[in-house]
Amino acid sequence: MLYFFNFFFISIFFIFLSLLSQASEPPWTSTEIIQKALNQKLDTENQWKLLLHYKPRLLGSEASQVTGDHFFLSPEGHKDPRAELIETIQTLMAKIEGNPDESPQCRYFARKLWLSEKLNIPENQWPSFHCPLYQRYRKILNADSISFVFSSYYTNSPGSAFGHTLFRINRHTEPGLPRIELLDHGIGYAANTTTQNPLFYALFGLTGVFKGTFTNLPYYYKIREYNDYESRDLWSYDLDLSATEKEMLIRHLWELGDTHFDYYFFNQNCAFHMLTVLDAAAPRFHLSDISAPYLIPADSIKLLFKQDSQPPLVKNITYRPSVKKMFKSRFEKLNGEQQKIFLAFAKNEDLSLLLERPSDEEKVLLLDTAIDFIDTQYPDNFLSPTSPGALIKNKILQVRSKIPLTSPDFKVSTPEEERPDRGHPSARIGLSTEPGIDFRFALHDLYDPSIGYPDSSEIEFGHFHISKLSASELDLNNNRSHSPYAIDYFHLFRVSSYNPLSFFEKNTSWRAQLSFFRTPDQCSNCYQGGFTYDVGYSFLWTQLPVTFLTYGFLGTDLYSTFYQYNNISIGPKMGGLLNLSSHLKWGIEVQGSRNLTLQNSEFQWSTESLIRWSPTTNWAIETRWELGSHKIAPKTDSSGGLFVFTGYHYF
Amino acid sequence: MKNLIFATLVLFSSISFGGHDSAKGKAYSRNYGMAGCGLGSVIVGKRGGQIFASTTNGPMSLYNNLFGMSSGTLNCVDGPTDEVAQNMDKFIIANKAILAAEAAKGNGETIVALANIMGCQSSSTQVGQALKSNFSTIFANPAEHTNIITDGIITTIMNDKDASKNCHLEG
Repeated sequence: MLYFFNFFFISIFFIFLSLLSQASEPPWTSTEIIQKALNQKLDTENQWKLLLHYKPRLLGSEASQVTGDHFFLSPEGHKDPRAELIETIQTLMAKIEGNPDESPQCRYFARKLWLSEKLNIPENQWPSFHCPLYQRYRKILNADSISFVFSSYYTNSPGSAFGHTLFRINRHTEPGLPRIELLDHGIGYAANTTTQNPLFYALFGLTGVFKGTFTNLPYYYKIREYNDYESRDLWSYDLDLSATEKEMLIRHLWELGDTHFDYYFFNQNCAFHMLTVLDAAAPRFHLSDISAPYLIPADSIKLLFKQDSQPPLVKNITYRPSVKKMFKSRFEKLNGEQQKIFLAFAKNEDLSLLLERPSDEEKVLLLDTAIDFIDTQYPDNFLSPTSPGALIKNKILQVRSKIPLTSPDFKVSTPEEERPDRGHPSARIGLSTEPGIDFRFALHDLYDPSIGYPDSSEIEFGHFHISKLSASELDLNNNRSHSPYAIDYFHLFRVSSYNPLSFFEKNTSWRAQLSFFRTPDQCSNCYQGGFTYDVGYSFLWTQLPVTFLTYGFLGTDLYSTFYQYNNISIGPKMGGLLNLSSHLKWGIEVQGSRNLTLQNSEFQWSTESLIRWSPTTNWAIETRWELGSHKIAPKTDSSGGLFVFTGYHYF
Repeated sequence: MKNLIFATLVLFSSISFGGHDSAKGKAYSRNYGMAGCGLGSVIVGKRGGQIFASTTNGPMSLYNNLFGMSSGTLNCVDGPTDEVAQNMDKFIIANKAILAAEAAKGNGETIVALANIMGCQSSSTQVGQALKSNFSTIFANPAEHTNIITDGIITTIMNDKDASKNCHLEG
């Protein structure tokens, strides 16, 4: 009996020893963890590479887009995911030396969480450190959920012409209390520009000279800057992420906090890195797997909707109107008499006109409208308390404060037709009957479907048109063999800002473009390149849903050819555009131009009229009639002009 | 922190009877500068192409961006603890114009946010009323130094029983 028990306990003892020696119990050594990780091939996992911001490079290799120091622990970390994995584990297992806030142990919390989950090692099994700055970061964020925010198009600044995107980290709210967006935090990626010179600004922005970094600001700064000072609308897309994905996003943004990328305006811009960060936290969406030569902020939002995930990635959309929108909305809600009084006040800012009203309610209505009016007319009042606008505003506020009534809540309803995610795709290709091909990289002109875009501005990048040379043109060059097709024009960029005059809008309208045109009157293969600038005024008649825009410009063309003359032309450009709906437009433009560099030159006139109809957001059909245009060689000698039919596809 | 606020309250109440003049200057003195916290520094920084510079010297300046990611304001001085007055200062300096407008009207989102910072969000309506009634004193001079405006706001709210009953002005 005794022998049996001895045998029993001894065998239990040896079984226990053998279990111990398999080392499947904590605490593990750094070497054991590394071995486990390599056995599981974690260095080849997609999410590991996403956390390191690896992207395919030329010649088939992969390397990280992070160019700053302090992001890689291994000297080869930017191109060797295995080395970086090993170094990361060793670092996380090592003791901190020196200031914790400056040590890597207090930085790589996303990597740590990911490794914990993959290796099935609870986070509390890793050495723990006291990291004051990181704790502070988590405390001030107090994150509940995350939103993707888009601030709308702003043609006054090239960096903002296509809008901007950032994350909003929504802070936890006590139950029963309303959410206060002002106290959230905005984290976004932007270039650290080092020059104000427009030429260098453009050059550096295009070639990656600027460093791009993520910065964290209280969200109220963003509201004051975008909504108030720049008068841009803010659209928030609330993201439906799992608890782990949310945690990974916040931790990963911390990891990126003190490093940088090279900022490329076209394809590695704010929109792109929002997506790379989202992918690192939630790889199931594959948002940044794009190899397009450019990414526009609105495109990144559309990608959020392309997901087939259940539940959908975007769970809610909210709208925050700009000051201009607020004012416009308030003014439109005044009755006829009140509007008249307000216009009289606006002429010379005579407050007494507003105070002559019989009831306090009316005074409050008018004064509240006046406050928003001053904000739109004098945005500097936000920055400088001694500016003329601030002084006028203070007078209004003093008077307003003495009327005991509290202002009623004023809400602007969400304009669904302006939602940026509903805009047509940014690239466009067309086939026309000349025959010809039209191609545009981006973005929008006034004949394209209006939904999702501002209604009086245009931005185009890389728009060119190719057509077949006419028989007569080919004849002229029969001793030179070249392609029967030629590029008729190439707009590098084209921007228009129509600001219809109104009582409140006194700015000029303007258009600018940098282009090449074929000059068939010289030879079928001759080009002139240069710059056009039109300035003038426009007017808008509205009988919703129909609107009619008319405009008159003085145009200046500065072009030069390789062969002969310089072309400095001036002349009027007038036109009208009838928006029968957001999908059906009909317009006409007449241009006159006189070349000042030629003796005895006369005005050359050209007319163009076009109707474009978009049955869906992706397709459009256009009928165009041209007479005497210098941009496109006349294909016939008929004096009746030229009719062209074009079909467009947006993609 | 509790001692500091309490001492200041005692100091204030022992000096003044009515009027807000005693709230100026000494009552809530700060030993930090708010130079980089205003809206202008954020917008001008973007427009003028400046790289944000840390306002602190020493080891933190080596890790500008890390510090910025943690504190939430690159330019502002920020201490390791959240003191209510400091938070209010930072909030008010960036939101001064809107706060003044909402104070004149008696309500608004920015007032609710300010009340939240002071821990009295549940009495934000009363806070709005208190600011409206005392508007001409607090915002008498638009060019007034922001610290003085903040002091005026704190004083007004604390003097108003309805507004201040739920506030937590300790750190």
